[in-house]
Amino acid sequence: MAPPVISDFSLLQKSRINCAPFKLAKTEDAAALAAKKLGFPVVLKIVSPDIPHKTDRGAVLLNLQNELEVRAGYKKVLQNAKGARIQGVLVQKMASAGIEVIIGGKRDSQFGQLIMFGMGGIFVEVYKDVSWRVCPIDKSEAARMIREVKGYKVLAGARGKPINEAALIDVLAKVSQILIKKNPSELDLNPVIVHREYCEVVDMRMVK
Amino acid sequence: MKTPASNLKYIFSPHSVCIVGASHEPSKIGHAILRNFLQAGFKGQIYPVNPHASEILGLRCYPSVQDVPSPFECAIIAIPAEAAVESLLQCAKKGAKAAILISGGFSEVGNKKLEEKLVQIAKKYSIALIGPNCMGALSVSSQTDSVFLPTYKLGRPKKGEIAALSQSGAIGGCMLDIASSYGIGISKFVSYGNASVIDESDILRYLAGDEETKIIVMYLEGVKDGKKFLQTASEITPHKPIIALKAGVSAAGTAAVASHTGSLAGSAAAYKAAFAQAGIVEAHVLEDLLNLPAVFSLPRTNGKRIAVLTNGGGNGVLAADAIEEYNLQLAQFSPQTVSSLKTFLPSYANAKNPLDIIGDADAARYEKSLQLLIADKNVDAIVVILLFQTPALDASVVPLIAKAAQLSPKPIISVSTGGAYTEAQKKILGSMGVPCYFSPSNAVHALSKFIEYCDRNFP
Repeated sequence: MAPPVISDFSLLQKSRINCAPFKLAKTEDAAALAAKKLGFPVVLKIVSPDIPHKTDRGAVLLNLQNELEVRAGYKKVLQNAKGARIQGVLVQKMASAGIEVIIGGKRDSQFGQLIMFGMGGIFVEVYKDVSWRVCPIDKSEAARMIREVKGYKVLAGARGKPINEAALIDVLAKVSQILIKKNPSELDLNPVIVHREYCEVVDMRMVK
Repeated sequence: MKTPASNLKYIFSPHSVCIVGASHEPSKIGHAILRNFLQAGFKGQIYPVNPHASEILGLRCYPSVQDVPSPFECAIIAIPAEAAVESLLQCAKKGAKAAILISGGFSEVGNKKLEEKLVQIAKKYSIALIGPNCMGALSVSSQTDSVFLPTYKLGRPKKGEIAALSQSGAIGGCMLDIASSYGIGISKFVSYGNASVIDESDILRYLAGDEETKIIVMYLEGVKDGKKFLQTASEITPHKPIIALKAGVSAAGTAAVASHTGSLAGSAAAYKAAFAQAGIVEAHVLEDLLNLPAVFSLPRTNGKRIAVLTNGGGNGVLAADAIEEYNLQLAQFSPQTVSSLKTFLPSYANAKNPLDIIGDADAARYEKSLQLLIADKNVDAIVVILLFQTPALDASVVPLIAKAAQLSPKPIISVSTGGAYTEAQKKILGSMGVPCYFSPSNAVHALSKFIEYCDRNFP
């Protein structure tokens, strides 16, 4: 049996890592209320240990603009996740556009926990534009990881204003601590959206 | 308390050795090892052990380890695996501080229990055990040579500042042979095989404290203890560069490693990460292990402005391409350099970088130009391309370049591409301390690795 997949933002919040605001809803009414409190537009995501790749199952709905869409969406994601164990539906404030990066980790037989940083989307899928380190890393090592990827030029402002590098470095150093503490076989923060002022984690999954 | 690693000095500079499995037969490993000790001019006592001989190569031979009349510091064991374990125990009881176990037949073929016996003996008696499944060790200054390949087939390098360690004996042998042929000096060499007791980190730590060693070159397939390796290497690289080639980075390569030295390869990403963190200079191909070390003996710079001096235009263009490819910059000569160059360069030469002093350049023009580049404050390092095929350029340029390089506060490397005549000049340049490369890209690549290293450690 495949190891359980955990999608637990509170793990990140405990380490003071900025996540896109969210609430876990277990009923349609709760989802609608959460969306109003968070402010539109919102995203709905199924929370299930059986669904590691939510988008593939149609278990993520983006950019819902009002209560009606949220209520209809709630039913739809549950429908699409039929057969899986459901822990609830995550209602998350839709993150504003920025530069997508990914932060990951995995356990290695020889070196223990490794941490990975890369440019998101097509950069990681096609170009494998990532850097790796053995945990733990300090902030200066985190800075070197960021500067090592080819996409760093984009972060440094080749297409517009530079991002808040210090915030990103801080997240990397904190994720390194989480990896050491939890020793998961895999951890994915994907995407993490970086802006000029801040960065926020939009989705996460951890494999025990 | 004494640990096996604390006795590593007896591997490299023992006063007495016992060769278990010494043989009359020139085709036997035990014969080559004994002969190599004699040829190296080993000054200490040698005790050959073989139950079927009373004398080998003029030395008295003993039927067993127990029969050796005095204690000895280092044992070299080249007999089949089962008997080797028993022999190690006898050597331990005789007071041996170190042992090199050449024989295979242990964990690399799945015989983990037998290897565990070795480990227990070595730990109990604090024996620095190299191997099993290895090719031996070499220390040029102490005339210690247990590398089991005959010297007429595998040349031994002269004394130098580079220490080489190799998990694979075969790769180690190739490195030694090439180094010897190109006049590259070696301080110490060890092939450490299965690393059952003494692992790569122990050897690195020993070499870190070795005054003869300035640069460490290593070939590895896996490490025994990832965290220990990372920690040890991180402490060493700020003082001594480590250049390492990690083999087994593909799926096919990883499978091959398992049956070769029996190591768990770990993921390629992990090694890349560990190398980056520890400040290890990563070699990607075997050639890197031979090409890169020489530049690390040059004067340090973290400046990226490179001057190119050439008598061939195309080769200069290739150098300019390589400079950009490896994230260095083509230096802008100072106005003073440009005006001085114009006083003696022919009218058909451009006083620009890459500086093409034209196909009719002789040794004197090279020397004058090189001196100006050394003096130019806008230049951090110099690549001198020498094409010996032209009628005007001959061997007389070699000592001039070498002398200028020796006095230069900036690194100077050379490139010479050609056949037999060129090869001869390249070897002389190399032996005079001017690294000489086959192509502009080889040269600039090596230089970029050195500048990166300096930038990290001496910003």
